Amino acid sequence: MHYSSNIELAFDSVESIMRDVNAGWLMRYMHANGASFFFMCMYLHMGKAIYYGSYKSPRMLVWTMGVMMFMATMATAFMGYCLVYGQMSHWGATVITNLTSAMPFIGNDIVPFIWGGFSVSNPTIQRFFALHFLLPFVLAALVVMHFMALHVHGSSSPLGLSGNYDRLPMHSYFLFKDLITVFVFMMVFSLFVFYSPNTLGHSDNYIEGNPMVTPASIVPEWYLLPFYAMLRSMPDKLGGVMAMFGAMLMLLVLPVTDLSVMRGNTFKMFSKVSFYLFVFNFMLLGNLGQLHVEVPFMLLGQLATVYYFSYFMMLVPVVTYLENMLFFMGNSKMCK
Amino acid sequence: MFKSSARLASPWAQRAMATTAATVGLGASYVLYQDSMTANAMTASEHGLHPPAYGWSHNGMFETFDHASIRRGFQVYREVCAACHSLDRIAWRNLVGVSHTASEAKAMAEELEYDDEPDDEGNPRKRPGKLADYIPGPYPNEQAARAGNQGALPPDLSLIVKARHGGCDYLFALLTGYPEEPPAGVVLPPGSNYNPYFPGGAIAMGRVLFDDLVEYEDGTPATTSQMAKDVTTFLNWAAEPEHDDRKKWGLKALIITSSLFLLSVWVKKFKWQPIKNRKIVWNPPRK
Amino acid sequence: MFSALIKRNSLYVATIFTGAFAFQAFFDATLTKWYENHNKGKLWHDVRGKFVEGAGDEDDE
Repeated sequence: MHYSSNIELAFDSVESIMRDVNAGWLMRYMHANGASFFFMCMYLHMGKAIYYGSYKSPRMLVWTMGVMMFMATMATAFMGYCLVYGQMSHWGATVITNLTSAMPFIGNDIVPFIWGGFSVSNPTIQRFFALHFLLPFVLAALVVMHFMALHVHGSSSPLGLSGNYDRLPMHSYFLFKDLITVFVFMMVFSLFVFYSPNTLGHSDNYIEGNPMVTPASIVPEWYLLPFYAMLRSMPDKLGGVMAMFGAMLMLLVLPVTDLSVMRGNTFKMFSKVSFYLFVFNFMLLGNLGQLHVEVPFMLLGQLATVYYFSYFMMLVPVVTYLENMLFFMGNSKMCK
Repeated sequence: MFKSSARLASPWAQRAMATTAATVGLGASYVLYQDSMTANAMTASEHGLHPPAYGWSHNGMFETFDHASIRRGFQVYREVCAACHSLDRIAWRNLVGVSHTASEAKAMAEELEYDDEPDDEGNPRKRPGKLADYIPGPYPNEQAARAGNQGALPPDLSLIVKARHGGCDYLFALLTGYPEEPPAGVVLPPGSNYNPYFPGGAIAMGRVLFDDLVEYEDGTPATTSQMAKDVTTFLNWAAEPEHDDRKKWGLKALIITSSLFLLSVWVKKFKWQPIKNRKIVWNPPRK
Repeated sequence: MFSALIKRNSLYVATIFTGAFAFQAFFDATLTKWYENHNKGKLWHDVRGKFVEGAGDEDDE
């Protein structure tokens, strides 16, 4: 164990892993970039689930558990980022833990409780280390439950129809098919780890954390940026916190607001358009999250936040309802 | 069910709709992109001028550091930068086999005195340096460093290349970017110098590199830009001592993974061949 | 020849292990050679002659 979670030693011990441990730089770069690639795969998986309507009944439990895993992964990744204890770690931890102070009545008591002191200090980093170690086991358990819930009904298919007519065994067919993806993943991963290991990070995190110096801009890792943008778009602290957590919980309403009689967007032109606009809007939010809070971006951030929420609450139900009508009209025409 | 919807839109209308959608989408993206390029409330001087991209000899997937440059850069660090900046994470042993031989590094370490174990009566002792000792900084603590520099703290240089936006390019641009005089109208706080590459423009460090400030062992002319290039290469090595190995291992990883990728494509095709070529016949039952 | 190597499981395992070992040694040696040739003139053992008299190779590590 070369890492030490004491706040005085954390940054130095990470640098010692980078310099003095055999292949320590490789392990650290894989760990850091691995988090980013975990999120890349997760976002692709979620996008696929939204596009193909995988969340629809009878697989609501699978989807709900997936959203829980998404949030647990975010917590794990955030705490891991804090453990390096660079400037961005310290100030990221300060900003995010401070969010809980927006809670009515108990907010100002909860923040020192999380910190274990009166600022982000040694107890904070020590307990983040314990949690960063613990949460992956929770995640692994959730993954198993995700599988168990999935295997009750089996995977859905892009056609939105049941796949129970022509099945192939997992072994040989799908193992070898997935192996291709595994190697593609490893190739792209190697490109980052060996040739561009710090591109996805922030240069300020190579400066040791210092509570006396605030960095010019406090930016989280890229995978948190869309939610960070929604947090900042709100003029009020409580509103911002609610927007951020609401944005994650919004995913849970999809099975309810999707009124479609058919699963998936394969045969739905309007749903496709609104889905791709949603993806574009999500990436726009990601970009806004790393820009300075300035005049054009503030309004843009608010509009993008409104669009994000209206996708779940308005666009999905209205568009799927209209498409249902089109399907019925088409069917009745054929019957004539 | 799907036939009827296909009949509603003729191929021509479909194409027109797709073109319109694509044009609108691309146009909107372009406008938004342009907007994000221009709409800055913060001025360029507050962000610092962006450094140009220089052609470092270690740029590229297969390129190692230029070790002669590392050695010259260490000389520049030792004779110029070390007056104010520490290099805490580099030990003498790190130089061995990179820019110096073991005996050279040992000789440099032995010139210095380090704290030894106290003697039997508890009196502090000194001993000559060893290879395992770290390169000492110019100041005993932060207060001394600030006092020696009009309140400004010279940062430690061990990680400076990784800890600044732009890395090597920024460092080189900063070291060589001091103009003779600040532009008209620029008001600098006392004790600071003008450098357009530094965020805000006012930097406590003055220009330090002048032609022929050091004399290189290998006879390389010590121009300002030569010294800036060498010291930047040295500091990049100090920030990423694993750099040469990293690129070599990466090459190995890419060769192995890409050949396994090609193999896996072949295996998948081999396994799926019967499935992809099967013919399903349905004989309707007779009434 | 191949049937002799894969007939017995123990021999098969041994073949894979020695094969992997031989391959990695060969692969590493070839790549290192190419890499050092590609970067000729920049590496320490190429430039040390410019700075240090005499070739005391045991001095470097």
